[in-house]
Amino acid sequence: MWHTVQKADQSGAVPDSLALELRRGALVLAALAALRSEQYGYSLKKSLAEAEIHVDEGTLYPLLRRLESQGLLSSRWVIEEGRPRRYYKITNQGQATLTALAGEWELLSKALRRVLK
Amino acid sequence: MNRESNELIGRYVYHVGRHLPPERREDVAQELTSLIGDRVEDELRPGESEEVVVLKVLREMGPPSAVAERYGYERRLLIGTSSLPAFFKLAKILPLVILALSVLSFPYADGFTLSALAKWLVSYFHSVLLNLGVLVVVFVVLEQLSRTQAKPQAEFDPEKLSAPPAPFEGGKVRPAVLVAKIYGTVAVLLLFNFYPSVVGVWTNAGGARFWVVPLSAVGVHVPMWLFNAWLVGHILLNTEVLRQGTWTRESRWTKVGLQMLGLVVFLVAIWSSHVGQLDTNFLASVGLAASDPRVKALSEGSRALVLAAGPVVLLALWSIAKDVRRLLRVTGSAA
Repeated sequence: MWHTVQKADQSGAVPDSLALELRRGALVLAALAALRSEQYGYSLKKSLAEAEIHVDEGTLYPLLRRLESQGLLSSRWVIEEGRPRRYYKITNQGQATLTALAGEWELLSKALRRVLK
Repeated sequence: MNRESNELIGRYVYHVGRHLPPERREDVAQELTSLIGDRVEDELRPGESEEVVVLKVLREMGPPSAVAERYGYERRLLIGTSSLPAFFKLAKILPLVILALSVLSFPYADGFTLSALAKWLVSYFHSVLLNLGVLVVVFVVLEQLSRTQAKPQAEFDPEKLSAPPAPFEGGKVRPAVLVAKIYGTVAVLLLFNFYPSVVGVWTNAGGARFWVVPLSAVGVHVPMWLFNAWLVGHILLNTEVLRQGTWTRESRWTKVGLQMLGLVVFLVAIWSSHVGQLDTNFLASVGLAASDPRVKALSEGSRALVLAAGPVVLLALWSIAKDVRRLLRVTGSAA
């Protein structure tokens, strides 16, 4: 589950389920963007965490598999330091989807800013 | 990574796999093992016990069922992803089994009239729909029960997870074969218990196009309680092996036990039967005169059973001896 940084405001904390729902779609965008360079699961998790996107393995790994089954990512096993690691990389189809999603994100972001004013 | 840590991770990964479809287990297991290894390596501080960090990581990841759930769509489906392949396989085989039973029960003696054929078709589709419905209900109930059992794990402790079964030479299972065996056994169970009149010798003698001589009429007495126990044992064993995804030493020994029980069932059936002794008194007891043309078919069936008994017993003994020898060899090399 995406760790919710719950900042209490006057109306109280943001319920986990709502925050999760809001961020679920964005996680696909973040994962695709981060995988423009090839990474294995745990390094991806860490690079997302560095960008303040905290996601646990139980959410990230199934998501990577789903994106792979949709043809947006490709993966290969590499033996490193005696341990097999699965490296993921965005595909051409994934790149096109990323561009489209990034455009959608911009539009949505602008629209929401207008609504939230 | 030390042996204890590897064992803890192995147990955890095994339990995650138990909730996944067999074909996805190996891949997910490899990925999870790699991930946990990376996390432990990253979080391990100098002087800290590796085992303690492994336990911390596993606790944070949560119960195996929850991890497996995220790999599938359990919450959205009435039948969980781990049961879906078995469900679909059974759903595909079911119409074929019912077709076979329907063909057997077709009233051949009345001839192939259009009306009889139409009635038969309606009855067939009715049976298929009814049985598919029952199959769905059974799988949904099993799924709900397994979820209810998995729920009370509020305080998940990875140390309490049981060890995976010891790997066994030749332990790899073929799920499709096991499912087919389960279904076949269920079909035999239903056939013998509910349609005993179609189990026997089939012939086109006696004027009718097809004429069934039930086993009982050939003088065969099947001890049903023993026979049913043997079949149910097979169903339970194959279901458990399918669930575990591998043959273990214990399940192989159980199989040997069931083979021996099968031999006992067969011998008891032959011993307590009239096979090969179709004298006038016996024929009269099943309502047939010695001059009845059907007696020829009956006698042939009876003789065929006697002739088949010897090879069947030898084949069963050879199969049991082969399995026992392999099990003893594996046990010896493991010791």
